[in-house]
Amino acid sequence: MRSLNFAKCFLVAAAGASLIPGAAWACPACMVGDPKTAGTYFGMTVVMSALPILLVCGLGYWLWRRHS
Amino acid sequence: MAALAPNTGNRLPNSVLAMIIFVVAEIMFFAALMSAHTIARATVPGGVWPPAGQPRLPVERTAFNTAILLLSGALLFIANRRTRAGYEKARPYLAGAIATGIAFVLLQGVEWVALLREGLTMTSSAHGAFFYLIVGAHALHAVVAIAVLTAIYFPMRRGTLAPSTFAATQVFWYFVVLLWPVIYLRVYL
Repeated sequence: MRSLNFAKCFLVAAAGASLIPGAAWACPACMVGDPKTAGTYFGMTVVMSALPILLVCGLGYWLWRRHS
Repeated sequence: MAALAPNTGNRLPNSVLAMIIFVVAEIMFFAALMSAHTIARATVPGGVWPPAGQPRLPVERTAFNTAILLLSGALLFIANRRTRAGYEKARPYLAGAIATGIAFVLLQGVEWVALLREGLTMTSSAHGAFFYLIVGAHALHAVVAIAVLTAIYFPMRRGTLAPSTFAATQVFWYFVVLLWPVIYLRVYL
């Protein structure tokens, strides 16, 4: 019972923390004041997130096409 | 010579698949370097890159060097096509690809010496650190790839080169060749 209460408190605290704008400073794209620089951060975040997925999926698709 | 013709059917040789997976990892390595470089460029005060007081990179000479490396890739591609007529026909093109690859690395070395004399070093600025890190990492890959191309030249001359080994080596060299224009556009321009 005690652990359930702890879990409830933790969830409420975590949900509350997400409402605090200061927490967003952990994100490098939100940290910079210049909108142009923020755009670069965001663009690079998108590239570095999408590139491995595209590479792995592209290789998988190519192998599937080659052997099907 | 017919015995040397690829006889793998539609199956991808394990060595080629392994090389492709390795190249995918290498693409991520260079993407990380260029991502950091892009962010450093964007955050420089005044938005001018290279920063004031830093040596300018030799754009024109490197464009010529880029053409040499692309020629090397084209020669290797022709060498692959010529293997259908036998390794004897392909060998001169492979030798040409090795020679132009060596020329690329040597010209890069000349460029580095000139830049070091101008005061651009790994520790002089972020500009120097990124330049030597990214271009140096590519040069290291080029040297290794040239060593592998040279290593397969001799079995090709003897007629004992496995087609899958030749194919895997090509994948690596094409990666080195095609990566360079991207680096040139991002780092030099």
